[in-house]
Amino acid sequence: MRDVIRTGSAGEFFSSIVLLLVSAFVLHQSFLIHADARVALAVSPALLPLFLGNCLLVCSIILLVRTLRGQTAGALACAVGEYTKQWFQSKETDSLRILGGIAILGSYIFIFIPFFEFWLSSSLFLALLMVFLRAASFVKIGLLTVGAVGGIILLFQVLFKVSLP
Amino acid sequence: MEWQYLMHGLSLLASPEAMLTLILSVFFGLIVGMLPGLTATMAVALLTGLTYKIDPSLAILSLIGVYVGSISGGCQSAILLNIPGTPASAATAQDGYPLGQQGKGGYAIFLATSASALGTLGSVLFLLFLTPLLTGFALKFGSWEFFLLAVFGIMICGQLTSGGDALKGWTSGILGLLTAMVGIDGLQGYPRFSFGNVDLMAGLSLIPIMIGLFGFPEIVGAFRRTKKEIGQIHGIDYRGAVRTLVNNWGTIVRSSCIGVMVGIIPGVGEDVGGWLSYWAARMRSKTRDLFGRGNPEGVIAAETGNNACIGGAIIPILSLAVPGSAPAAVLLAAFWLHGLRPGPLMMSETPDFLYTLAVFLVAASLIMWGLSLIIARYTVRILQASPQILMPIVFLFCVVGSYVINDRLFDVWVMFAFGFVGLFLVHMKFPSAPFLLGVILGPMADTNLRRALTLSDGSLLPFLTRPICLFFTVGILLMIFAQLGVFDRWTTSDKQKPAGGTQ
Repeated sequence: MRDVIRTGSAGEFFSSIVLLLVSAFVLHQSFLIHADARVALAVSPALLPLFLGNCLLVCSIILLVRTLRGQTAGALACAVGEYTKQWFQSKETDSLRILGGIAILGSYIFIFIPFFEFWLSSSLFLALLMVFLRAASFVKIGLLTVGAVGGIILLFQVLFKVSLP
Repeated sequence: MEWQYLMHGLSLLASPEAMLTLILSVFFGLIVGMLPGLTATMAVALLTGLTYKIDPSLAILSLIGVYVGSISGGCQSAILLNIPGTPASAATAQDGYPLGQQGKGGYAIFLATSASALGTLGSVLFLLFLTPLLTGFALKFGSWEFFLLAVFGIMICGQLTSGGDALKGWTSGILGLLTAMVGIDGLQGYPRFSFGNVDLMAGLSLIPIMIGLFGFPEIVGAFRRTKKEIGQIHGIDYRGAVRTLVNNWGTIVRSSCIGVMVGIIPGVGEDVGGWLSYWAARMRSKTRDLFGRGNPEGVIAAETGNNACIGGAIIPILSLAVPGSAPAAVLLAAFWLHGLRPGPLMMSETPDFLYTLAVFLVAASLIMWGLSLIIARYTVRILQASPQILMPIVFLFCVVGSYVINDRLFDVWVMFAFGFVGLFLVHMKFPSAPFLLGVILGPMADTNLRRALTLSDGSLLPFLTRPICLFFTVGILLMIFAQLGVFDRWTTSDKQKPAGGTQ
């Protein structure tokens, strides 16, 4: 099995485990749907999810098998741990910038937008993220924030008459 | 040729509003294509959300403009930076960057832009000729055929976009199909994977998924510190460039054909079209040794091929409602959003739509050609824009684009969640295109499979007894067997036989 079974990596091991869990969840839910729908399998709303769940299970097992080729699961689990540790510690990956940036994106969506007006939440978000990324000087960031948020409001709310979050 | 439909398409373009929309959208597409990290798919997805509430014909016009502009714009950063602005221009960098290093950046950009325009124009001819033929053929499709077409499309897309690891492409496609299963099912109204949540019962909107899948990884990627070394553009030798184009007319025609054919294959995008055209040009060239060292023929082939995919990718949309590439998948979603119904009945219900699209594509490619040459002088400045400034603003557009579809915050959360799915796929080297195709084709596969099984009383025999089904079934099995190495064993044993025979 030339292409299907090949030397694996920590990333492939991690992804195969995630996919295995997803397929187990899909199959479990599909059985529940089929039982609840009370129709023949051929017309059941669970038919395709069941088929896809099985396909995903097979794919994740093949992925796992080819990852484990010549290696033990324990060694690969250690490799995943080592990779994660290196990712957090290495300066080359900019891990803190990425995690911090994602946290600001999440804050904007889950905290700023639901609790503040669009102009305020978006201005806060833009300024905060650009300052965090050290994108430009404070004056330039201020001007860019006002320009970008003002432009979006003018374009969508005023010209297109679209409601904004 | 239905001239009245062409005239109707031209009349839509005649208003100043339409021309302004087209110029702005092509310009936006060129800038997006130029900037590494912003892809054509992301641009079309973003604009689909943002143009949701404007007039449908203007919205479609702007999406075509962005599509053409962004695929073409990628060549400029490929030539000046050696970083393709979009994956479609990866092959262009092979010879474009060496030309830029030799001080011929402007010359290479002129060649690439002209080849892009010619590729798009060539693909429009194929679009007009092949769409009615394929639509007539698609009328023979029943539920079995549509189900197998969806599976075949996702499998071939997974195979060709995965860089040789088809298992990952297929897995990505399965995940996309599963995503499409969320919400009330099309036949019996049963809420699947909804967990009592009303928003989930309504299903996941396509646009937020697409924006998250393709936009979020690029935004997060821009958080890293990067350094760019940008080449310079000196005077352009227009006469020499036109002469080179005329001398390479054969390459242009061949690459157009390859691009269109690649475009027709479901989900396989402009990047494959560019690479295949480049490869074909290299194989047939008299100056093969110069490839990779600044051969203009390489630039012409790659750019003609990737832009010819645009028309090619629209052909299966109009005839089968199956997208030919990732940006085309977003375009299909946009058609649906604006109440258009591409598919086998399109040529009988709305025959003018094909000709309108053809007119839009021709106009977009001509405007793209002119605009590209005008802004080429300022490309160096545009490429100097900091991604740390640009991407936070792009994220604002992602949020607005996701929100305006249904005016609900839930779609913004969906965009964010699928952003992480996109990050997972990119980081674990799973292609995103099959996922997107799975989301698009999921409902079609689901309803057609169950409808077909109902008609055949649960029998699977039609898979083998219906001629078109048999073609797809054999194709799917061949793909699986090829991945299992069955044919490798045969070819290996064939190669070993003569040696064995002589002994």
